[in-house]
Amino acid sequence: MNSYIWVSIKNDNYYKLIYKLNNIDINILDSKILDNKLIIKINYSDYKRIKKYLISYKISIYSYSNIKNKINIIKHNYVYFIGSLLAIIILLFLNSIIVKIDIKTNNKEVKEVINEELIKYNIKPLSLKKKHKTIELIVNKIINNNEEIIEWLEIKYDGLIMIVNVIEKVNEDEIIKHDYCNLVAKKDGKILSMNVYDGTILKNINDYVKKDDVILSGDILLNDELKGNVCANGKVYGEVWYKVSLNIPLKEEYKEYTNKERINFNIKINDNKYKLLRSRLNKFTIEEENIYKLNDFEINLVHEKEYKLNERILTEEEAYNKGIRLANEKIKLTMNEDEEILFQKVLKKQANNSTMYLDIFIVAKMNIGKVVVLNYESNSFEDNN
Amino acid sequence: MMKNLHFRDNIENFLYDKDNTITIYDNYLHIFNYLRLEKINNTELIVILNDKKIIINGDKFTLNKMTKNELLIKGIIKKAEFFYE
Repeated sequence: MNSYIWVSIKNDNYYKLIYKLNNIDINILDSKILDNKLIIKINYSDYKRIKKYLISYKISIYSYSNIKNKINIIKHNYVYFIGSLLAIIILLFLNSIIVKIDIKTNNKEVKEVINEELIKYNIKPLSLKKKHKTIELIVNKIINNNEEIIEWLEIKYDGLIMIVNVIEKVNEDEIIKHDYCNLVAKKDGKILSMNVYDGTILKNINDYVKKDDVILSGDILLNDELKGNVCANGKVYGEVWYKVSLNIPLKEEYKEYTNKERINFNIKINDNKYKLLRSRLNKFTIEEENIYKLNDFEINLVHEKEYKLNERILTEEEAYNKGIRLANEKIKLTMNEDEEILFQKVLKKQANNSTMYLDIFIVAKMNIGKVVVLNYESNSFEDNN
Repeated sequence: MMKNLHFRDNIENFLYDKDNTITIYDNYLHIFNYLRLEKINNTELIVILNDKKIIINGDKFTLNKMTKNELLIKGIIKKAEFFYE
């Protein structure tokens, strides 16, 4: 195979050089002129001859032009290429093995059974990953072999970790049933709505209840005679009242960003972060951008944005609004999604030079029902059977 | 009879063309089967062939290709003279 190269020859007289090249029988396949250099495409063997005969010229290889010479480049940089190749092979190898098997269940017995089954199919730490179809077959076989204890099983890979999600079969005998319970108020309030699933209603809508008042009873009565017991159950929403007192400082600190930004990196290993470069800013906030992640190992690009703390005096209106917002946030911390604030009123507002004092009355709609399980022994109910 | 058909010469000529070819197109001069390049500069080119010498006059001559058999020159060609020896 002919190996062609582009050779650069620095010259003062272009035509004289061509004449000389012709005299020493150099085959020029293509040529171009660049400043005072003649760039010619020649055979590699001719390059050696040019070097031998045109001693007074400055001759250098401009570029390689075929595969053989590209191989030469690889030869010159073999350490880098072999290193890269090894890295790819190691990466591919690591990517095809299981480092850890994570069986997601708290039941030790089920965990052991699944572990034994997986070992049976040669799935263990530091073994090769199986194909998707093989995994499906294995999952079916494990479920079929252990129908009494496994309801559902899923095997998936997360990087080098094999995750086994399992739902155990629930033994119906083990389900704890509360046969006898009352639904009581867990807070003082006024009943707004009721959804009764089971039990005898003792309180109605618009009734005021105190904490621990029975709203739904587990006793089934007929003509004032106790006929049986159930577990009273239902959803009872009531109007609940809160009084929130707040002291709002009129002086407020706020961050003013200076437009100075520094780039940093951090490495996160198992929730521990290690900063790579020393931060040169005094006060700054950080924004992280993940650039590499492998299981619990992460490399993040960190944007450090400098700010300075300034102070300002709130107007009376701003302090008032801030107080209302803080009071709402405080109440909402105790609320669920189906609960809401219905009404709020400021009872007292007092401001001096440095603070504003607020008393806020808040009315919220909340679930006020709580199931209390009762024991048969402690009850006067007598079994008619 | 066989001698008259020049089989050997024809096959040899087909496989190994010794005829000179001179082609001028656009701003290119292509010479096939030349013996040597005698002179080249910006305005003049002298090439020796088997039985003749070619003198080309013109402007801005540059070399494009130069092998043992072929020569390809780019430039403005104004005059071509042939001298038979």
